[in-house]
Amino acid sequence: MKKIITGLFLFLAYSGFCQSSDSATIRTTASIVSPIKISKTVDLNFGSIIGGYNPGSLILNTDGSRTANGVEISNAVPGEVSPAEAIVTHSNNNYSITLPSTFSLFNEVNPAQILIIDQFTVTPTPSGEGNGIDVLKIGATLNLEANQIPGNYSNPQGFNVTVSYN
Amino acid sequence: MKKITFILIALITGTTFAQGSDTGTATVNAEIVSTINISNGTNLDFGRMATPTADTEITVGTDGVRGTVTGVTIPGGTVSAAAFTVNAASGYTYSIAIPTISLTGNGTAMPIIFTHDGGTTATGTGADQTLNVGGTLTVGADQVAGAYTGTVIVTVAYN
Repeated sequence: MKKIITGLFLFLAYSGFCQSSDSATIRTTASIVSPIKISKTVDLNFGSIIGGYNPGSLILNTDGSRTANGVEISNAVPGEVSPAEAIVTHSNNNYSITLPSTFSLFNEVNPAQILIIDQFTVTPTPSGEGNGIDVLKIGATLNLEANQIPGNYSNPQGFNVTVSYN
Repeated sequence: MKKITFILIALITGTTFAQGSDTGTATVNAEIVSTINISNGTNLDFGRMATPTADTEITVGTDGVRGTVTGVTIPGGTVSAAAFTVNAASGYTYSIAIPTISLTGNGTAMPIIFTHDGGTTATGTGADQTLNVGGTLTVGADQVAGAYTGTVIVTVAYN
């Protein structure tokens, strides 16, 4: 009987040492971050621009205002004007925004006529609806050539905006 | 046991970075509107008139008809309103500006105030529109006889 009791004590002692090596602290550091997401809500619309006899440009600011350089805009008939908007879900993590350097628009009647867009700008603003959500507003500069052919210009392929966790 | 735990953490971290970016796409639209144009017009002609004994206003309407004037003999001559061709984009309003000038000739310069039939705010149609211009000429008492001429610049601009 003595031998049996001794053996039982040894077994319990071994089990106790085995459990003390598991660390709860290490497990809590393994947090999973939700994937970052971007979803477009509004397209980029420069509105109507009056062509000029000389080259010019139109800056569409992220607040929706327009600045004309060398071209005219009609305040009475502005057309549809809106900076692009997108919703970013980032779970309160830092992230970077990648914008295109240039983008081309084509005349819908005569695709040989091109407008070049560059100098994209972006203003992220926290959404009031909850944590970890930003609203991005994106503007750009539209470049007109001298005597730019009138008409509607667009590019249905769209331009890409990429967001990445830092 | 510790080694196994660390391997698990490394695996989770790597998976997180793989999902760490996303791309959205937006389309872009712009409309280029044609410039507003005005062509050089025909002449505004007040015709002939005799020298009045007092300052007298002679008016040619935008329809090219000279108004009747009392106290002044009008022996005739060609009378016409000026006509310009304006081309503005459809639906776009534009302003018309004509400064006051004076006709110069042998005697004292005679001021003209112009009128036009484009209205306070004209609206383009995308096609040619005719803008008629008349005016009121003030002929002075004892105005020296002779031909008097002047040039005026008519400016149209999108509002």
